[in-house]
Amino acid sequence: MDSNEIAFLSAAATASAVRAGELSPEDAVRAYLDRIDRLDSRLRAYITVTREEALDAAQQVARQLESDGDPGPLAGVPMAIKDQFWTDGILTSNGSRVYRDFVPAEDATIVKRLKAAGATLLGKLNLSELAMGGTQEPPWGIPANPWDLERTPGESSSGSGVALSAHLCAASIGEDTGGSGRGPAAYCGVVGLRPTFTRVSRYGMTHMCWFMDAAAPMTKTVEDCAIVLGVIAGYDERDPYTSRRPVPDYTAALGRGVKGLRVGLIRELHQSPDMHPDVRQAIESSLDTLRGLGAEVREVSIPLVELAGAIFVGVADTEGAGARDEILRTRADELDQASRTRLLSASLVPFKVYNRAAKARVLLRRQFMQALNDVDVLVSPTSPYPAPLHSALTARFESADDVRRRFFFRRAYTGCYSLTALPAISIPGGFTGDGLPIGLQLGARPFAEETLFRAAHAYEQATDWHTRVAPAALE
Amino acid sequence: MAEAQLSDEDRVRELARLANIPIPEDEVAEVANRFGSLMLELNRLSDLDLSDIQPVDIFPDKG
Repeated sequence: MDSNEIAFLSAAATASAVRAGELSPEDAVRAYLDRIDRLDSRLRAYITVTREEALDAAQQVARQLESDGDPGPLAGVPMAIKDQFWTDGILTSNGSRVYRDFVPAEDATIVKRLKAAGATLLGKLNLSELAMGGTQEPPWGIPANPWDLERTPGESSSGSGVALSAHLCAASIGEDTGGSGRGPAAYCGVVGLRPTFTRVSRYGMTHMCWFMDAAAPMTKTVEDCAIVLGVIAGYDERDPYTSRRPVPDYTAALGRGVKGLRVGLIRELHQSPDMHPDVRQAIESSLDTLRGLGAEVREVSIPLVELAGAIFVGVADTEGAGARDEILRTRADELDQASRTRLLSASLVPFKVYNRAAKARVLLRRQFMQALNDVDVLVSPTSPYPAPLHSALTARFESADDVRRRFFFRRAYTGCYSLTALPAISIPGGFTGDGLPIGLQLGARPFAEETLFRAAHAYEQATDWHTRVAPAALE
Repeated sequence: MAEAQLSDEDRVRELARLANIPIPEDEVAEVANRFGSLMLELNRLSDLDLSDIQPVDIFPDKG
């Protein structure tokens, strides 16, 4: 197997080849390190490449295999982690100059679990400052979308999307507070999951919003996503909010098809006149595909979802600003200008306004649960438009309308699931006329990730979007 | 006598003083602009009937 061939394997295929003795864990790591060396100076996916640690880990997996041990479901799979999760002895920058010297003395729970499952850690991935989005001058460079280098790969798990799309890792972990995992997955043409809140430990994750943050598996395929979630999910005594529910074998849901599954298009998210026409067309084609596979497709109404962007910002930004009070008082000058403005303005929101947003969140949850009485899976685009140009993302806001259009509008599409603590997955759902990926988002009831994987896998297998390769990955 | 209405920038300066958050003077205009847009959007929630709703955190295990 040559180096490029290895790097284009899925995580499942990599682990399978490693277990079968067809691929050495060290060759798998070297294949990705070679690509990182060649491509990442332009793509800026990585903040830290842990070359020696990855090679040491690969040798350890090889020794386990030689001694007839089972390294686990991610045997020899080279992975990378958003630089928001603690890694023992390795810089965890949170994408901010404020944390430029922060070297944790232990791994986040999810990092420990990935290592215990046989994964080899290639490094730490770039992100928007403090996992917020809108950073104008990222200290470790501006991550570029492998489908079009002039465009954003999405925020805040930008590096997690880029690294996958350019095949600079076999699987990655992002973090998804309001869409920070699903958004980059959509813009980069890969898979991104926001699990049910409390399904995955947050211990060792730097927080954006305590009651919405979620570790987000990001992968090349739906099967990989099911495997990674199975590894990182489950109760953790160091995150007392994690659910004690048993973790199912998520891969068991794959291949069951969607015959009889009730699928509901969220009307309010589909009828917006501001949605890009190619995105609308892709979603309608996706519904045709699901219908053709035997799903029962209908429209559902969730009236409050139109305000989900405002509700999300009212809760998450206000809480996030409160959590960064110390930074705002003492080290604000080290923040990026855009982060500082966003946090300062959110820190001034009166409590009664925050309280209203928190109540609206509960009402939104009621409406989602009501809709999910009638259908098994909800459908919408992950984003109403494809990846914007970098310049459009970082441009200063000119007016209230500009803020609504560029800041609040798209947040409704992903923020609604964060607010309601429901699981949602973004999978490749088509391309625009000019070749940019479109994300298809599926949502489901609490802890119904198996249903999501079942529907997502059936759709993926019926289409070829996930097999397309970004131009920058071929250089 | 009616109280003079604060400008957007003065309102931000006053809120920041009360919250003990230092805002550099050369950034007050931008923060005021952003804060104004934020409040305008959040005011869209004012029309909702939220009278029977408690602002509780949401935990999936609790249904």
